[in-house]
Amino acid sequence: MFSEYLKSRQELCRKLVDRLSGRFEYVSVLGKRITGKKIDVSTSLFDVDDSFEVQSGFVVRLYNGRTFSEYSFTDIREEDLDRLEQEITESVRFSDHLLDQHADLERITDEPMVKDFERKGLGRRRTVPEAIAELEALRDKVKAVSDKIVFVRMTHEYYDVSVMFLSKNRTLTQFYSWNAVRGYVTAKDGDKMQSSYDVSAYNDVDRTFAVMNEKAEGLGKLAVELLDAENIEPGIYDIITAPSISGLIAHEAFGHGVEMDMFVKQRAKARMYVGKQVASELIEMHDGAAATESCVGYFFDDDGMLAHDTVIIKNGILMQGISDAVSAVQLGAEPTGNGRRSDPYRKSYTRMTNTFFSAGKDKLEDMIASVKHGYMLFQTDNGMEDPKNWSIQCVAQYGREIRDGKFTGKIVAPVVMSGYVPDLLMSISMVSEDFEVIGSGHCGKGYKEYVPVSDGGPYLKARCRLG
Amino acid sequence: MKEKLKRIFLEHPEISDWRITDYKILSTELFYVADRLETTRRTERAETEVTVYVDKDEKRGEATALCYDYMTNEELKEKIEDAVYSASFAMNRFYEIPEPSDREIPEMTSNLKGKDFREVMDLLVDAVFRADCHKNGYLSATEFFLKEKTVRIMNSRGIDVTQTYYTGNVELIPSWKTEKDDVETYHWISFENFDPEAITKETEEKILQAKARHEAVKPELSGSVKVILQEEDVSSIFWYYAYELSYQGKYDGSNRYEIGDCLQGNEVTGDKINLKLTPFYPGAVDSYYVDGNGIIMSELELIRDGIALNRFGSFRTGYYLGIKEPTGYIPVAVVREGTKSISEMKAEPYLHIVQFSDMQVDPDSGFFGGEVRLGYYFDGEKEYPVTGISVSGNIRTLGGKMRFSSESTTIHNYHGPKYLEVTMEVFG
Repeated sequence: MFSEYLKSRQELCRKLVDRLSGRFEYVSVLGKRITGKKIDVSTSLFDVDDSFEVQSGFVVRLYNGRTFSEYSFTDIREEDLDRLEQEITESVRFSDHLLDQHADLERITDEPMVKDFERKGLGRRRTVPEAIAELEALRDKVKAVSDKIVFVRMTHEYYDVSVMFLSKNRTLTQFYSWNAVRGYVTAKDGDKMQSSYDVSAYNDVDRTFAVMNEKAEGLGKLAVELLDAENIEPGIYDIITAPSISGLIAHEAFGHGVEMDMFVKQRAKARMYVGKQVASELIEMHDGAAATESCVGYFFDDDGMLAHDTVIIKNGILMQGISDAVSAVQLGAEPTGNGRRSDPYRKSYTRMTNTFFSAGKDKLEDMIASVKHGYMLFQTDNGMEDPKNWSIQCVAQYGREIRDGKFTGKIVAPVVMSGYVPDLLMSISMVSEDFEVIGSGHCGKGYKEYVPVSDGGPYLKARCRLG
Repeated sequence: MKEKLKRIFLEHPEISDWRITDYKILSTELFYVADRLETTRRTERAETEVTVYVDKDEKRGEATALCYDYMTNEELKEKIEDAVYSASFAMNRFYEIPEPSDREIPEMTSNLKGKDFREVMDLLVDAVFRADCHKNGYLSATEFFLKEKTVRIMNSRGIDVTQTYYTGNVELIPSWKTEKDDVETYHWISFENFDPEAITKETEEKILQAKARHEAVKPELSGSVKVILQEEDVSSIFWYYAYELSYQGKYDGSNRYEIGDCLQGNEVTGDKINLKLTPFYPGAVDSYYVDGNGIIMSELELIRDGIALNRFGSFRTGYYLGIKEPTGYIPVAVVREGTKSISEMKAEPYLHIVQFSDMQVDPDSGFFGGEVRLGYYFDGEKEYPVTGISVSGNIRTLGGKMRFSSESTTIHNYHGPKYLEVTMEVFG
């Protein structure tokens, strides 16, 4: 349920908005409190800590008629209101020299709305000893796969998110929770060593554990199998991307380029392609906190804008980007509910949420059968955006060779995909009816500002340079 | 907060030991779009991390929880009770926590100390934009950060140490635009001492890198090519070796090397690695003298002539391995330079990689490589900028053949050879 602490600060935040509204054309306060736990059980240690997502704080956003200022702080108390008001007012004062450089921005929208949102977590939340016992069972199941498995770590993380947004015309609160179980396995044979990992993440804690239980043995077998992985012969191949890699392409290769704060900064090539074909006609791509249920299932963003399900690509045509409130107003667009902060002490940027390609009509077995020589690529290893130049850096943890429509049993790892983003998207020739969004990951903007995200989609058949 | 917590600890006889870490962070930040100021930010953040240790049947459990000044006594009691409950189920082999040390903590020197960050921002912004004077080059987005972070670590054995760190950062996105194209590069500049002239010079260099990327072509290159890596990518290679010698890897059973083993293979034909870890090196902004457990760290010789001499890591895993004085997580690697100069490295055809999109080093397999955003290829006759290709290699097979430059550099967590020469597979 919604944080009692934030509830106790709501009236004070309202007073702060009212006091500052006399001096500034727009004032908002965002309060965020995330609580939760992370329970680690490995072959060597047990640990219980607060979840990585735990945070608590407030941020005031002000508009002075030309530009924005923000002040982040840890707490607000009745006896501190005068001091806080003075500090905030003082904090926007910079030298005349810097103030002369201010941009002339429009005010962000502040349509009236008063609403409380809540999405209850499903299943029975485990106590610490219950979670440890289940994680031990998962660990032992993986360890039993092979003597070559030297290390297993199973982590259960859960968190409850409470957010409050107040402006002159809006009073919004939201509460939601999330669960994940992550598995990480290391296998060793002589001086060869390889690792595998996977995640199960749902709003239903029972399902979260059950799905990891189904995956556990395979996770152990994969780590052992990867010990025999070969290097791939560099070249251009037909590829089939598993949902994790389809999501990686949607997110890293294309998604960052349609974050509209990058449009404002002249940092995204996609701005010139709105209304134009950027992908195969088979492709539809979405982003939005309202698009699916995941770790980013918020109802309103950190700018106080309602979550959307934005269709970014339809029939291969780039329809629109996604935006935070400030970028949207500068571009004359409607905010899409993608303004997100890493925490209340960080700036809001346009950020992806749940980013995925829509399912198609092809059967996976037909897609595999259609490949003369190529690879099916699995499990995201890493990716890096290049929104202005659209070059690809996407790395799959491993690939399985296909020859004449059948898997040969050869496994290659890791697999680096390279090339030019539109070339890859235009080459997509088959889209599976199977579809999965992987519900719990993290993403940075550049090399910072990490926020939870999910991505995924169907299996895609495309052509790409691998190495 | 500390006194409130200590009173609560006394109500819990199950608590055998505790650690309290106070964080206070103040920052001033400016966000520019082109040369226009879009947002100003100031932040004040205060958090306290509390760890309780519970002993049972010759075992020890620990749990950590974040607390805040605003919490009432009842809320704090609830937090600590929950941590004690959690710790009592997370039982590991017994381990001690660190005792106070006689060592003095040297002060982290910075010319940002005591300064009004808003006044420094005036100078920092000017220092960056002074370099923005090219007809075709521009800064499409620039973010400025000045931060003061104070960390106080206390534990039940009497450790009470405080360190204050000052850092400045600039996220720089220089672009180069002509009728043909508009390209950018990405840079994250860090400093603990503010030198306006050095910032202007570095910004100028980065803008010219965007120009080079604009002129870069995708070369017809494949197969084995002599590659010259630089700066952070060189640091990543040496840190791969350092992590091979962590206490954690040894304790988990996922280590490959024992003390006395050569980390570079049986046949070392290239330069041998000499690597020390140190808590502080001037210009290395990740420096800190005190680790998260309150250990006042000192220099450690880790690798000599390619041979593993020591391990490093956390107090707990060090204790488990029977290390008398666990080192703590020493943050900076100092590597002895090689004997080959960059001009000697460039005497034959090479691919000099200035910027990867994000070079990856896989700690398990030893794979390293990535997509080249900007490099220079010398074909034996002329050097020209290149982009859009990928390179890969494996440290485990190439480690004995690498050559280190005689020129050195200092970056975030590293001081040592600025360039590293190695033969890698190129495709693109």
